[in-house]
Amino acid sequence: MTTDVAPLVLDEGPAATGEAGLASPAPPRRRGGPAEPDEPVGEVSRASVVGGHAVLVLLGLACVFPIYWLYVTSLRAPDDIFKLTPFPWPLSVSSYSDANKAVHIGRLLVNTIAVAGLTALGQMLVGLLAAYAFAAWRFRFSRLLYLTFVGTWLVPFQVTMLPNYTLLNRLGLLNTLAGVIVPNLCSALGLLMLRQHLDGFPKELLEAARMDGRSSWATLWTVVVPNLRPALAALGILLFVNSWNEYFWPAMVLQRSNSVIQLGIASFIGSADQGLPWGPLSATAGLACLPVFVLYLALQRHVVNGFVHSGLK
Amino acid sequence: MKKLLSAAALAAAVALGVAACGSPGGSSSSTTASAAGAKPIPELSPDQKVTITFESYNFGLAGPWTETFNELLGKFKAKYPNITVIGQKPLGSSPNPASDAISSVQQQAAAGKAPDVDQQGFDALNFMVNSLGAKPLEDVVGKPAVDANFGGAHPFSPSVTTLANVKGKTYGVPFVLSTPILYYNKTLFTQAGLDPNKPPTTWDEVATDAAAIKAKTGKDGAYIDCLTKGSKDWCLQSLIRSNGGRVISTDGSKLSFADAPAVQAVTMAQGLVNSGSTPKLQQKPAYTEFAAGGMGMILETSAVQSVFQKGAKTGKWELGAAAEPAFGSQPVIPTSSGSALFMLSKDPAKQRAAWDLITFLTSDQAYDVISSKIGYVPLRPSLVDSAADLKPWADAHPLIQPNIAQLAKMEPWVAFPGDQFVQIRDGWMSAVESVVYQGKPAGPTLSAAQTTASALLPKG
Amino acid sequence: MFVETAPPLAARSPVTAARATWPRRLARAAVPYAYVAPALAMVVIWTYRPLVGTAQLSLYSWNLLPTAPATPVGLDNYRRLLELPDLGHAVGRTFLVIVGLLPFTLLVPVVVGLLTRRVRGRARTVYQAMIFAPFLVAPVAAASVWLWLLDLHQGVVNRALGLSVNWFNDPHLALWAVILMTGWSLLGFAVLVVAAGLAGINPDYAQAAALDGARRGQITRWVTLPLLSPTLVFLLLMTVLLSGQLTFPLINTVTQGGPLNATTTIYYLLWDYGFRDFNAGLASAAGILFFLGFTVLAAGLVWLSEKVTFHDN
Repeated sequence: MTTDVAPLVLDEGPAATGEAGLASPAPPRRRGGPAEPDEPVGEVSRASVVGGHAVLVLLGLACVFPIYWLYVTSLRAPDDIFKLTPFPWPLSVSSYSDANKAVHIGRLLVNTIAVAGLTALGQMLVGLLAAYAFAAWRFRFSRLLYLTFVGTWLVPFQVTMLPNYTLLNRLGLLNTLAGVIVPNLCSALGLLMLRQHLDGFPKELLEAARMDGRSSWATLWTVVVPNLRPALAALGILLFVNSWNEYFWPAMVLQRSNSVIQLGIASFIGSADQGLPWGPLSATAGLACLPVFVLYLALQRHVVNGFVHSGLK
Repeated sequence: MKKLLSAAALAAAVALGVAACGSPGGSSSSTTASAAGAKPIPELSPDQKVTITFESYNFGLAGPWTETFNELLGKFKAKYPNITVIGQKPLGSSPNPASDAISSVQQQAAAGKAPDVDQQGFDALNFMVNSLGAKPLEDVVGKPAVDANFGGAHPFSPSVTTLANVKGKTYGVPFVLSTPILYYNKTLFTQAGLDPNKPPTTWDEVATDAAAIKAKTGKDGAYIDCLTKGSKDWCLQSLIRSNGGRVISTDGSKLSFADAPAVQAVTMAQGLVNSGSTPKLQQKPAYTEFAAGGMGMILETSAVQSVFQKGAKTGKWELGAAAEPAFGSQPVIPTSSGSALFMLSKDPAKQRAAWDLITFLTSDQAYDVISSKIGYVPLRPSLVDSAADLKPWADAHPLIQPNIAQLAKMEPWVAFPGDQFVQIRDGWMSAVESVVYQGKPAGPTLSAAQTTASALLPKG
Repeated sequence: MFVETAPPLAARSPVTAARATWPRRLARAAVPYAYVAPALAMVVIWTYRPLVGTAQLSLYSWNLLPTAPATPVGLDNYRRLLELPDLGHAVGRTFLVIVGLLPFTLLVPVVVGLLTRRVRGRARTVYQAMIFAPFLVAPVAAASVWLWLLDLHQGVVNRALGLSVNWFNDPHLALWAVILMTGWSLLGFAVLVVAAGLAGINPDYAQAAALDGARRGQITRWVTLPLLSPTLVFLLLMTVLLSGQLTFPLINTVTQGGPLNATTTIYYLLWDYGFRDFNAGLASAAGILFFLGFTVLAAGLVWLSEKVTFHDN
């Protein structure tokens, strides 16, 4: 039971908590961010911070270890593949060159980047246009249309694969990268997230632009998009990763060559007549994950913010 | 309420409009183009350009097969510059493309673009002929041409030529195959006090030797790679035939894999597992263990021989190969696992190009490459006696001898009839797997599987 | 805000308003539809057209070949599927997978989230990246990673722990191995969502409770967790929906439903039976059953989420 006035002071937000040495017997200064009023004080607080670090370190290591082991295996010399040492020594890129001899990794990566990039861009564009319509206008059937888009999430791949394959054949797009991209251009996830973000967009800006006489198209590109950049970045990464990791649809379309990297990995796993070549398999799988990791690290903040502000509640 | 109704009406209208593709189904009136007794198709003129597709489940896998195919296709292009061959792997997402081999042809046929030449397992023979439209080769190119291909300086083994025949007509040219071979670890034999140059010749001897290996060296004794859903039924058919039984009646109307001889064969394998000589493993872990030197014997296809040879070199143990063991004094009847090349094109020019490709891939020259690079036994066995062809290779690889010897006594891998042949086989093999590796009672389990499978046979 | 009706400021000039001709009004009203059109076209062509076509085909028995007729069989395909002897077992296994994933998607993220609210700054970013990394790994690559880690003889898990456990080939263990692989992938996503959810909780409530003398544990139980319930229900929905989507490529690549059907979940059963049967009608019925199942499940979970959650408004 406390009549201490300190919690009320803390509640005023980061600015207040940032100032040290306030007159009141305040708990130790937090390092930024809103206070949790249920925090205990003093020694116990430090222990729980250390505890928090410990938990996260353990969990992080447990999550990352399989990936780490994959890269370690890919860098071992061929004779050392089955060694257990935590760090590969001597380092060897023979697994990578073996993998490259079997599947042209460079070309696979380039193809996959093209497919994932174009798919993500296409999905963002299509989704942006539709989300703009939902956010900026009230029109008949909008609710029905919205449900139609969200409903595609429920349609499983097994339902669409054969008819789409037949249609692609008639369009002459089989065995092309375009055939992998075109059917996926509307992403329910993209539309959902963009709509959430646009719902929170200040309508006064749109109104102001309209009063300036700008067309809706101009408004979209000069007013809305510049303000949506972080959300677009977050969504772009998620859509890129989704498309990068796609396997089943490329497996249907690309029959003549393993043009995307996921099919390249599968070509190693599938050889039933030989023992699994762990070195080249690890190398290919490792390379398949690398661009995605790099992209994520570069834009991590946006992804996290995208989750926080997407209104998942 | 009105809004809901109008929304529903809109949805229905969209649905109807979108579904205006008519009712599904093909017309049963279109029969195969080549009627019996039709003239053979003409040869291609040298400047007549044709493009054909060749589908094989060996494409698209990182390994020696893709390289070998590319080499062969390169040689083909040099010989027939006016024919372009596009190689492709089966359509589908299974990691092992062989699982998709049949459905791939089906789906492409539905879209109107079945491959011109297709490499397909013998188990799909009935489906290829009756449903997928494989062409009877005698009708398309004439009997003399078919016989000429099977003959030549180094003819096919006679037992091989009829493997892809249905009702007397040749629908496929057998391409690569293997009979069941008992590979064994000579080093482990020596360590267990057995004579490495006298491998077991009957299943009773296998049981004894396996027990000895397990007791003296601690390594697993033997593994029969014929008894899981993944291994398919090709060599189990051989075990059953060798024990005097059949899997299905010769007219294809009645299943018999729950009859006494078949049940006995499965019980023999169950005994090996129960005594501890056979480990409870799936196919790939089992042959990987053998390759690593951890198993005494394995009944396997020679397609995996290169894996064993590599393993023996790394693990420093000696590999041996022997004929399939017998049930007591009954004769061994090996079956063939493997595939044939089928022709699916309807256009005469493509048919001719397809035939040129098929004859090329089954020529002496092609088998020289395939055998030496991949290790399959050549279906033209006399090539191994010819110094210009495979004699040097055969001398360097004495392990192929049992396979060559067994070629002569071989019987076909019987394909189940009807559109649901895969279900029949999978149901049966799952039952076998549960009997052998899970100890279920053989008789009742196999009978139940036979009853279920019988309902899947084509009616009439 | 653009609305379908005439803009309010048009009254400025009555003459202009009267001259807002019917074609022009129509053009103005059509604008939002134009923005939605690309997305709608994509969705109708590549998702709904196949859905209707597949539903139609499910009432026939046909082996897809142009040379064979399609025999109408009514609901027979559905009956065959629902009478599959293994259906009950497959549903049971699917249920087991979902329940097995809950520790990864609910329990651990909530515990970790609550324990580590205090950790901030650069360290937090690093931990987040480590924990999220598995979610970015493609299913095929993840399958390679785990095939290598859990290999019976050469895998690091068995060798480091001195075990001889046949992870993927023991019928009793294979499903747990699949759950482990899927949980590893989903953990980072769930941790991120829970962290976002916790960050979004207004600290006023907890502070008010603290003022009333509640202890930390009580605050967590009676204030924080209920406020977190929308996030938790969202995660439950995601677990149910994503479990099928994520386990399928893993099962397809690693175990193919085996050994002895131990990893044949309902998705794999319908896929395998439908697509191995060469009866396109049966495969279509399987796909439609998937679709209906998902829809019912999603609708149920959304209804549940609205009944159970405790919104902050």
